[in-house]
Amino acid sequence: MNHSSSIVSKFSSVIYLYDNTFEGLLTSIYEGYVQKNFQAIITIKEAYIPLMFADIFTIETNADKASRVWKGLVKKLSPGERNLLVKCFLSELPQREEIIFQYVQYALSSTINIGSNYGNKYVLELAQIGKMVGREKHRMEAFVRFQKLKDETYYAVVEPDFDVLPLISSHFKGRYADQKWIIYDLKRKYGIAYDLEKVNQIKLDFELETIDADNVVAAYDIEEVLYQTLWKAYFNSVNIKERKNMKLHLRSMPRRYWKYLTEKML
Amino acid sequence: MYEAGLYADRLSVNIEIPTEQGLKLLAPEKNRADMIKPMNYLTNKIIEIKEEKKVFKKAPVFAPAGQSTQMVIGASGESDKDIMYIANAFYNKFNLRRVYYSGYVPISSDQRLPAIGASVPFLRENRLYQTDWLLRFYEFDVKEILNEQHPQLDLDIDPKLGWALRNMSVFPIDINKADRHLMLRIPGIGTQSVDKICAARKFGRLNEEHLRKMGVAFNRAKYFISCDRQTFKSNDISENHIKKYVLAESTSKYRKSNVGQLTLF
Repeated sequence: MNHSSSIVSKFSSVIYLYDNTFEGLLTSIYEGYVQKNFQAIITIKEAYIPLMFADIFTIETNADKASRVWKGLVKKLSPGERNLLVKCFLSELPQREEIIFQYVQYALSSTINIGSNYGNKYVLELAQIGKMVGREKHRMEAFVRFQKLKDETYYAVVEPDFDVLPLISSHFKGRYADQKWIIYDLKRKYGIAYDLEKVNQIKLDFELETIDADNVVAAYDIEEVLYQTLWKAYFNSVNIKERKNMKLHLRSMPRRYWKYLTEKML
Repeated sequence: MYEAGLYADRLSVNIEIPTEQGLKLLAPEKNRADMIKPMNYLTNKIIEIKEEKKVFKKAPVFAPAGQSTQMVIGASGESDKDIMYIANAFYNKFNLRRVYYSGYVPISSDQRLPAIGASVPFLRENRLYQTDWLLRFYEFDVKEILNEQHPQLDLDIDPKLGWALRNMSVFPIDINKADRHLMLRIPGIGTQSVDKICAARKFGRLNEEHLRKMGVAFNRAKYFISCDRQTFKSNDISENHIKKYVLAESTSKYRKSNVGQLTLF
């Protein structure tokens, strides 16, 4: 596993197209092993722009093949390290497939655990991306503002940098176990909904983007507006003017998250 | 107080004024011993209930996140040394999880206090917190940072860099060999980087590029480390030069513009 591997992969002529699921990625890795294409480029089918002179394989996601790779990883990696692979996948970064593929090869080929070899490019990058996604997960646990709708459902909209809904669902399920809620990712156009029993993935039928503020307000529970006013008043009164530190504030709560924060709305 | 501990995650007994003299000056009706007493009570109670919990699963939970305190900085004229020695004693004696230092915000025109409109000492606050971190996470002893010769923290450089410049004989530290305790003293390398380096060097030697990629502030650290038999600082460079170089490279909202021009050497 040296640094030249990434350069080689740029010129490698084998391309695996998969369906943008973690299982599909693991299946592709399995095929890479079967065909001994250890430098294959794995990329999402829909986003693929054809290259000349490339052997292209479309990978069919296969649960058995994926679980064989995963079982191999269970023997070599700690739960935290395996979790990093999932987080890296959820990052949706363009280099994620290469990092995961190369990391998996390194982990499987080594007799000892390699999870802490930060001198290795892929181990370090996986750790760093895992940290980024972890931070976004943490922010999404904090920057969600629910609005109570007439049907007693608490509804929140987010636009996270990474696809973190799968990571935050257990937090909200445990924290708000006694109320129905929906957290909707506007960027990725899907949401998670809790119906007092379990969390389901949902896709809302209507075009959310076309809903303007007036329509949302119309769907509010009677008391919702009162609580929003109260929440804003609370923020105004706990603020200490003399200690205002905008730089620190923006570091902890960057402006891109303000859009859906009640206390930041005028 | 016992009741509060059953509900709250963490309890804070705020002593507000760090020193006894300060208390006499500003609040002569108050007695320091009376303010310390509840802290003592909490310390003992937390330990007691923790022990109970080991034996009886159903013993009540009492302030599971421990206790903290707060003191106001810059109201009654104590030195950084006074403040940090007191904080250190609190950490050791009462098992505190955190000490908070809050810069005084002038609210009254009492002559014993800084006048209304005087600015809040943010930078001093920041330096005190940095020192606090050095004590809790970087294995520093408070006497190494603040003592008779240095009763105040430098405002232009952070306390870790300050200590390093006063103790240049310790450096350069070999990042491939030195033990964790020493690694923690290198300016520009934080606890997370130290942990990464210590884990990674078991697999092979590390060089400058590895450190940069791990997120070490290399431009700061380079004066204090060696790796792969390579040192990055020429031997004749003095503490003053390092200080100037580091300041020139850093950007801080606190930094004053009159750092002093770089001298050619």
